[in-house]
Amino acid sequence: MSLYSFVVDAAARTPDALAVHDLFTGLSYRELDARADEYLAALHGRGVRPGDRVLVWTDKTTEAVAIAQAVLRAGAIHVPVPRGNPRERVARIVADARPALIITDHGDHVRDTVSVHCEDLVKGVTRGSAAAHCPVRPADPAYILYTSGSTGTPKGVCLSHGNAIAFVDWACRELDLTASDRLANHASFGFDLSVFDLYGAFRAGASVHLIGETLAQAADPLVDFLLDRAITVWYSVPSALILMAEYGELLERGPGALRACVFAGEPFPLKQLKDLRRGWPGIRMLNWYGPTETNVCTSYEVTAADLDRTTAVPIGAPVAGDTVSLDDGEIVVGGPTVMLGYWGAPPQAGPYRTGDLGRYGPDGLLEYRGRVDNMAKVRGYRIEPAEVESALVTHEAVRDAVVLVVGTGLDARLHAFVVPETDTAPEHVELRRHCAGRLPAYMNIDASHTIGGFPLTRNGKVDRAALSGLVAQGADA
Amino acid sequence: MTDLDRATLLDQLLRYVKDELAGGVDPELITADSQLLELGVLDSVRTARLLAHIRSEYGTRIPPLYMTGEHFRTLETITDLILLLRSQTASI
Repeated sequence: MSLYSFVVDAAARTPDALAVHDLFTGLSYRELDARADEYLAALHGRGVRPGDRVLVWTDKTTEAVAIAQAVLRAGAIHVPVPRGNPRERVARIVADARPALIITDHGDHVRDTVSVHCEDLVKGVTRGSAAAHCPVRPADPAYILYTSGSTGTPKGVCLSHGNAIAFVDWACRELDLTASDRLANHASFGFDLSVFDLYGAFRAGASVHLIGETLAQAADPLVDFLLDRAITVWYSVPSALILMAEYGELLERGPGALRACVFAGEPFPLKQLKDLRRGWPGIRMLNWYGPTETNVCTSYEVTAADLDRTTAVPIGAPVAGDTVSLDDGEIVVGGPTVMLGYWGAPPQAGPYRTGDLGRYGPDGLLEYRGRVDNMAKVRGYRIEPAEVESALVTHEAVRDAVVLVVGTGLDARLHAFVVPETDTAPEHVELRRHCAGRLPAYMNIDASHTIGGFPLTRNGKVDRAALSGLVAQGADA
Repeated sequence: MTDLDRATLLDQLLRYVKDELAGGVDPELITADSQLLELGVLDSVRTARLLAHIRSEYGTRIPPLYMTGEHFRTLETITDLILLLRSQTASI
């Protein structure tokens, strides 16, 4: 059983059914299957071997989906990198993943590497060419998702075919996905939420509708998209739903054909969640939890009973055959969905310590309580402040920098506290421009403050709470 | 406002963004060809407010198909998009 067999099987069962649609074009299962085989022939032509990494730095398109299928069929490892990543960050990912091939759909290049445009890749490949699909075992790596790293460099979370299938099998059963479903894909391909949208749809023979990076940020058009495409299953970070509710009249204009609404990646503020639950009584709502390293490992179904609640909804109970426990308050996850390990590091041995804090509520369900470290979430994006700090200190006028998140939900902002090299502080806009060359937009700083030195705790660490207090007091922005 | 010309529209949008969406950015630094994403004046909330402004002020709704990085790169590209969509509506 391999992650690529879903499309192969659906193409045999329902060749004419729509498989994937981006903003502009759609591919049926027959077309996606054939396109994937063309790319597979091209990958073989370029010497890609089983176990090689293929880095795919593209927008969210049907072509990018076909390429992913081809990479898996080659027995190679798919490394999706969202287009919004600047060259410099992609270079660091390349240095870690050491891909055999970089595929793009634009003219940007990482220096000292060879990348090929997807159009050039398939030139010269005969249509209908069929190369053998590489047999894979469940423990073979399928993809690497690069997430923000606490050392300042992105780290690659490597998942196997078996890891993904265990999660997708459970999710498809939980949501009773069928061939008539139409799934929206809001998250970037580099984020684990996409694994459900794409492979859940393919396993069910349903269709998946790709939302590009710019549309994903645009409340009103997103609601249009939900209705126009008659989406039946939506999965995103809560921030996206809140944005659509506040600026796109989601509750008034929806739900259209929607039957299930799933969210993960950050806590859903209770008031807005109750508004949604009250507004759409006929729709199933699920709160999923799990870092990239574990896929989804717990789930909680939000029902009418939660309307009486005064505290956040739980993250629920273990799913997909996983075991979830607390060790000194930290959530620890073991089981079939847990990653193989970080790329380039020793394999994950035993259960994975998430760095998330939890506790059991009176009903025995797990509740999320925050982090053991500095990792932050801004509108659902996982950000290690250290990665942003590393980018800031490469600016010649910055001696030292500390980054922290102030506010929650849609109001969460990344604040930078900067110790300048000289008396003249670098301008906020200049720092933003500097970071934009090194980080994706969602990691860029929203405000900067110049400071002579950092307040320290009694243990000699930077006192982040004190810095946060400075913002509350209205330090210069 | 069928005879809205490009220069006027661009000027109005520039003024709106400087007055309403600049956030922590010095409004003087926002120009017709500034990279909006890089400046940070188009995060999701400000994008939503800009779209609402375009809708109420010019009667133009931007369909999902046009929500691309190419169209939302600078105020100039947004201006061209609004004019394109207005001309399409006018020709129907």
